[in-house]
Amino acid sequence: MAFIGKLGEQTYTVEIEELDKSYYRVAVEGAEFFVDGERTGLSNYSLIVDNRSFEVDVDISEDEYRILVDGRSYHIHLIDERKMRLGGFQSGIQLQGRQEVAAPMPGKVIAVLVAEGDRVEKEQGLVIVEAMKMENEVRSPIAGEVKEVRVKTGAALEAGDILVVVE
Amino acid sequence: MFKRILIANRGEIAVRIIRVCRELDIETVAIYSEADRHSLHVMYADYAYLVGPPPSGQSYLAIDRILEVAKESRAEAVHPGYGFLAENSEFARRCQESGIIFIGPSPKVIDQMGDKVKARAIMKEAGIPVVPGSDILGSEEEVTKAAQSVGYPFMLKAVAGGGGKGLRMVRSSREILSAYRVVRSEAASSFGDPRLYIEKYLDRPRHVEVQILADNYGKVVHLYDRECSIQRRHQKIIEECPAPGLDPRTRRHIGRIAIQGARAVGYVGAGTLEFLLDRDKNFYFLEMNTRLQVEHGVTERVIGIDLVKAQIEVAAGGSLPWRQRHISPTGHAIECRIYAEDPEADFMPCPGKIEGLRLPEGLGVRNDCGVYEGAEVPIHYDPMIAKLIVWGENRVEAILRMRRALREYQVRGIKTNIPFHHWILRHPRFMAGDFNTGFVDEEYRLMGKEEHYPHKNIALATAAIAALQREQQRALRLLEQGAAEKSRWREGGRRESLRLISHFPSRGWKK
Repeated sequence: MAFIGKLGEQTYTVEIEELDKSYYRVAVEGAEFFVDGERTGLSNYSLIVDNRSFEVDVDISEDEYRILVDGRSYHIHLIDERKMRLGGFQSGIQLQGRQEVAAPMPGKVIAVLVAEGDRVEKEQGLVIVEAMKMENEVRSPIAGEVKEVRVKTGAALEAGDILVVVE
Repeated sequence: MFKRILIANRGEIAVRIIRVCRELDIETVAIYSEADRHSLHVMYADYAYLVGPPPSGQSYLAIDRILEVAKESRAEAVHPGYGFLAENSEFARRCQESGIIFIGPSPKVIDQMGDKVKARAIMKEAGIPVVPGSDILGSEEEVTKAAQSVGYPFMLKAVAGGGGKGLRMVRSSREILSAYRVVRSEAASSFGDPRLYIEKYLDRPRHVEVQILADNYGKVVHLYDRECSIQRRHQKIIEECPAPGLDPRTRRHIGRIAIQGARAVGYVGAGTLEFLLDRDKNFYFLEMNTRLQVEHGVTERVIGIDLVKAQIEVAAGGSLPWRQRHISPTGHAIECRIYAEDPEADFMPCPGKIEGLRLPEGLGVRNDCGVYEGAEVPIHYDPMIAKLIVWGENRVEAILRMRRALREYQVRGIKTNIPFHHWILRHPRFMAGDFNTGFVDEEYRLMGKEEHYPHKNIALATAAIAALQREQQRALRLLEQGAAEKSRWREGGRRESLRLISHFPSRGWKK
């Protein structure tokens, strides 16, 4: 299979073929190497490439791959080359329209910073949520108008509870 | 010596205290909330008592219930650890009234040092330099007035504050109103005391503190200094002993001053005097922590004294066996606090199940860890799960060893700040010891722009392997569904799937 990976400002073509169980031929921009890639956990791999050994952590959400090698984090946007041909690269998806802003984790509402009808800027604080003794500001993903405020100060939250609707 | 001690805490510090009790042949009584039934401290202790539901207000802070357990378990003393009830004078007083020894200073001393304004006044009286500041201020107008004499920028602080909460920097008069409201509400909700005061803001000072030990018979020694300037949002992240920012003269001086301060309040037990060190090596008393500090381990490693053991022995009426001239630092120790938080998502706490855990080992490495593989990090408490402490013959060796240890450290299932530690430990300014409390704020913004990818191919290859396996799993699912129902669409999907999961595809590789 072939993938297109975006790392930093650069885009790379990554081809991969499983030659044997956990043994891969990989080519990055045509430069070929062989990878003994054992999966060692839910999100962990042990890689041996040219007899060099690496422990790698992988965290995937959608097409975003967060790869941790040797204490450094690599953010890779990786998509199937075929998909790429169909839709092209959607670099930094622009959010539009109605946005339901949800609690990222369970916690408690410390303060609601906006009211219905307020104009908000992108990244403006909407609600302060306390989770694990730390106060965190939940910010607006877009510039727009606050349509609904669904929580009150002091309310207990589950992860995913809708806090505010911005449009 | 005590026969049984109750530990009014959880996590790594409860484990730390249990360990020393074992060594002293003291039985331990753990308390736990409903969220902590599977926590390490519960398993390590000799006795364990459920104290309440998960929220700490109903469990680890529930004074009545904890005292009930202390009586029921016939514990003679209570060790509060740090956080929770460690600096709660009411708890200390109630212990005293119940005939249980509180391992820490007297309620009076806790009160005096807990009130930051009072503490400043006492220290000033004792001839110790303090940061210029105000008395208690009751309104924004009073803050504005005090600001005129103190000058901008200044820190607006809660009298009862601590642990990095209840304070804001104010740069100009326009910011007073909002800062006043925020700090006041934080002070009221976190400490139950809305009183505020202001203190001059020192430009990028270093945070240096001195560990002291005192017994009931008037003996006070200092256990040298620690540097805790690597902070984020006023929370310490990395600590070192001894402080790289002090020259020998200043080191001797600050030690003597700390002893003077401890004597001025009649301190007993282990305590810490925190100072700010400005660029001209002037230091100012900031506050005194009347408890064991999170970072006590670096001092223990370099000085060779078990601080928790000393606390217990002093509380049991023992006298300190050391003379000041017998206490000296050997080598250098560094501590990294391991937090369950995501450094790439604005340090959002990251509770959840620890799917895998491999701790670093080897020469000079100490783990104070409150979790284990399979444990759950509950959402209800502080996200600090462990401390990694290393020792080296000198600071350079300690840094190199810490880097090595961080590389071995593997936590799976939850995110931790380990990559953040890696970044600090390889930062040239950290290596040179050229930093202050503004280090993280100044430098971390730039980290995202760090366009340096030494293992680019490995990262890309791993992403591709993971993506391929995802595809294969998706294909397998399709295949299973396909077995149940057939249609032309499914047939197409199946053919594609078969192609993908075959280990020897005939046409997967493009030249």
